[in-house]
Amino acid sequence: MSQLTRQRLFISLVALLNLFLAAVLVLNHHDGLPLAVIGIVLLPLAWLTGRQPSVSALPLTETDNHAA
Amino acid sequence: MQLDAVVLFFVAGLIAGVLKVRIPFPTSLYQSLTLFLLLAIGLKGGAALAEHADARIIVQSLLVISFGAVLPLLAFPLLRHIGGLDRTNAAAIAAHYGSVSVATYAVAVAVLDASGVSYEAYFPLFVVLLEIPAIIVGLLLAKGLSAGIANRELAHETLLSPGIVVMVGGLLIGAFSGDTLTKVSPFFMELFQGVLALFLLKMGLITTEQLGALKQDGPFLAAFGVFMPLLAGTLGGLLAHGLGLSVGGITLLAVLGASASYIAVPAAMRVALPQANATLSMAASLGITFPFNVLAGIPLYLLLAQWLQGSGISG
Repeated sequence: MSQLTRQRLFISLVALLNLFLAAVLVLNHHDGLPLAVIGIVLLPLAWLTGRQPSVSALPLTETDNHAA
Repeated sequence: MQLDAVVLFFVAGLIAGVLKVRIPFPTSLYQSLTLFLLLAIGLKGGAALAEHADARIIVQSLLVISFGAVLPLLAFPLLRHIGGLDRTNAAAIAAHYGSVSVATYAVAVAVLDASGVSYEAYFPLFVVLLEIPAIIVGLLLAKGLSAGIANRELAHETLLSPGIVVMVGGLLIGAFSGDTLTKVSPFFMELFQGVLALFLLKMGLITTEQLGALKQDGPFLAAFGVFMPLLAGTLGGLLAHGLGLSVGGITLLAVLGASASYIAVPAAMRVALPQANATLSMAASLGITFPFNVLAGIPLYLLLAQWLQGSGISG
């Protein structure tokens, strides 16, 4: 299995996992909307994989020196 | 539908960031708010430690440290074999996901307080303990046993990072100040929610900056940034259940497992693995995992905790 196929499969599985959890929450009368949106957004990303550069040459992001 | 006010400040920051609204938010104010939150969490935990210190906490602490060491070992193969990342970058990102985010923890505490769910008040001790093991494991994953963990500069960055020092300081002050803590508690305890709200407004703005970087860094990291908190949060919840913690405690350990460091670990990795691309780690941990946990993860971990404790997940 190629790297690209593995990535597409992984992203699809994560999307389906989120949709499944959203469904479980809704069926139990809880708010499943955030997870459903994440699942729906991830599905097209599986298709986009391999169509964009995987590593950028952006400069390192400096952040403030407190906490985690 | 009722949403938590503190979380809505984060959403407001996100919206402002997406709309490119320039909200004046001085870096020094952001640093001051962070300092306040770390001290407040430390003080509260220290006071609780002084009241509840016993052998059971030592056993729990050892298991929590082991948990922090295992998480990078789970993340690393995913990043290597599915993400196709090189060894250095996979190890650096794995280290971020083994460590914790104090901001995510603070939001979880606010949500639990608002919901009236009690939790073990000594949890800040676990926050501090979970900062370090993942950095060491990440370094071992990147360089093997010749990692040179005894490196003085790395030890300084890891053990004496400002976040850890301030929080440990708060823990010690809280533990040893006794009744005199009441002198400062109106400032640190009662203003906590308001300060956290302001802090999250800024975090929303920062998150949108990181999302921009993720557009170029690939869909895999986006999926990883969502999957890892679900996996680690579940494991954290199961561990806490095994340790006999309360519903609130299970939720908090799930949150600690699910969260990813975005300041303490990057500082250590800059010293230990300077060749690692920090943008990848930051985009995943701050651009994806932090908002995921705040908006979707924390309520989910609370439901998991209630389900594990047998209260079911029906609303």
